[in-house]
Amino acid sequence: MRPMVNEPEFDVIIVGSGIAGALAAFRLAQARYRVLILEAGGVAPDSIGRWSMAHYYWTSPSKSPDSPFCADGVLPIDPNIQPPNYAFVQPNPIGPQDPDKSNYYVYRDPVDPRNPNRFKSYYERLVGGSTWHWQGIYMRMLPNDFRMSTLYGKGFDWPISYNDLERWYVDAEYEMGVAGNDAENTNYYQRRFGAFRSKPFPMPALAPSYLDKQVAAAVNGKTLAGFRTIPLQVNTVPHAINSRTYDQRPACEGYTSCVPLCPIKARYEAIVHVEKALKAGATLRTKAVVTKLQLDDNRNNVTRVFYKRWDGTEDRASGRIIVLAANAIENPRILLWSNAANRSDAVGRYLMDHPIKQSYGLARRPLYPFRGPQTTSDIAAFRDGPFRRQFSGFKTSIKNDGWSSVGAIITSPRGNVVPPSHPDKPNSVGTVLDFVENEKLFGPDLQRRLREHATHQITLNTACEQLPIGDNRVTLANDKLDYFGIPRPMINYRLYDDQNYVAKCFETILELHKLVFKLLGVDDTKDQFLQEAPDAFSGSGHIMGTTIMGTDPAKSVVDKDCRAHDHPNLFILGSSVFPTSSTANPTSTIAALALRAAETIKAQLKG
Amino acid sequence: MNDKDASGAETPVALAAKQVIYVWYISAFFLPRSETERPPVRVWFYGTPEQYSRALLWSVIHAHAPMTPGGPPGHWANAPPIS
Repeated sequence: MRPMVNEPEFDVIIVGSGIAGALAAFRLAQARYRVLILEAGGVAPDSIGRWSMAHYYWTSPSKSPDSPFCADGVLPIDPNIQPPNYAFVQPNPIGPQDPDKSNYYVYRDPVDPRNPNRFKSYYERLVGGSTWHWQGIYMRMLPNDFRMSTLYGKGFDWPISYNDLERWYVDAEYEMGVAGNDAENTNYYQRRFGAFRSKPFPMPALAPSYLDKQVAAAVNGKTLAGFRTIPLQVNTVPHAINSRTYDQRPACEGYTSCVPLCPIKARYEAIVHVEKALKAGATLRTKAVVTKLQLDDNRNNVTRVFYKRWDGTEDRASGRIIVLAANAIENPRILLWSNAANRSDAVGRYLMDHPIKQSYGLARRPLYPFRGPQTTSDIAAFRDGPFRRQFSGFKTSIKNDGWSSVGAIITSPRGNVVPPSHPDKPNSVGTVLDFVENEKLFGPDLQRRLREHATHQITLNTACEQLPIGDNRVTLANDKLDYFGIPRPMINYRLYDDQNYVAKCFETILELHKLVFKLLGVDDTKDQFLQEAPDAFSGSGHIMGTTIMGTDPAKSVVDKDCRAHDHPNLFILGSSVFPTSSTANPTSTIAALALRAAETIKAQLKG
Repeated sequence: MNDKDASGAETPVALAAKQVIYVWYISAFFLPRSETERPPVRVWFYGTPEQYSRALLWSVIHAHAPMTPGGPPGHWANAPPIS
């Protein structure tokens, strides 16, 4: 029987312990408010450094992103799967083949033959959220990203500007520890895009790789045909990865495993602030899947949060302020199931990702990949410009990990599976398994072939913005329930839009890949592999939109302070509030908005 | 390497040789998930963490096994030492 408690039990209940929830929880607990964090997932086994998690990875066959987290009681299990054991109920749309048994997302039938109608990004249901396996790339949005409607007639303007958010970007960078190059920011980002900084980066940038330098030497100053005013330049990438000891965490030593796990905690993870929040007095309840919000009789304020534990038992908690920070799939799912915050009918709409085109090749000279952080430099020239009236902005990461992320067959240089024989394209795979099984190599021939292939590998990974489209949305699959009896998320998603904004961008991206490869001496007759098929793309793991921010309560879900228009004590954090996606990795903006909202919440609690 | 017998099946020597190569290069060998499954699905068995980090592959390509130390901070800024 549930004991009687005085309500509200907490000042703030935060749903989700990823980057947004963790930062807000810390700031609010630090201010001595009673904070409860409800997290749907378990706790990764981190008690002896990272040893046990790294051990799971070292000894796992697949070396997959989930490998470090395979201990019992960490990731959710699905007892309905046969054999009845520990297949994960992770929301992974690209993994298991049978979507109705083991895939969490539910899709409508494809409506466009070009469109695979698959939203390819997912997330970690785990204390610390998806920051467990992110690359730590920490890009601010650009000033023009906040004004897409005014400047380019696309999407929406944000109700806040870069200037409004700049001090919070700084706050988050110092809270988390970000390494970046101040001179490059002044000379490139500020000069070209107006992205000023009011304070220097807390740490100098991570060293660009040898590979980056070869690409820079070949590419800098060159232009793409038709874009003579946009010179290409290779810049270092800002990271939430330590380049020196910071916040008692060590400097990066280049384990080349940012995804799935930094074994020495050089890379920032939300768990850092979960731990800080707990030390400051916050309460954490894990394996607690929030099912519903309860509103008061006037449907004005949220009064209680109901949740189910993994063992199926139900409980509830009450708070003065409720914060949803459960990502852009779960935030709308909770709101829709609760019939809350949706007078605009905007909840679930404008689902966005940063669709990726990834090409790979073999450079003429050795580049020595498989060393250093997975990305240390990028080409940001096309992040903004007048072309955004016609097609998406984009950003190209230069990968330091060879072809290891190209696909399931090409998990270079080891290989997990034997690829089908491919005599017409002998260099297209390049794994140990490929050379042994298909080319029958052994001894010195195998060594030479491996070395000459692997040391020349380069992958270009380009992510682009996607317009906010109302029909790209999350709804409830009312006839398909999850383990807890809650409708699973129905994803209606089209990669391509009616304005060909993404399609034209993909064409330009492939032209850029061809140019960079040409400048690196990649032989386009046998060593260049472009992701040319129209329906071939990857997800970024950047799930955005679905509870967008705006000034008009009839068209948006939250206001400029991330407060629900319909419920003054409900806040929504994370990239679900993004009205447009920018071209950049969303974490810096998620963090800045979370810290900014924490101040608003404090003021509201005092008031 | 003549790795097929008259029937087109891999010879036991060829199969064993490949497993030795895999143990040597990637510190793993495989077994079929099932004797009857066609095409066979391989289940890989990795050795100890030490064996993973010392697998020959990584020194052949002048790199290091992922999630193992690569060297001091910033070592990736230069070409690897090649002896």
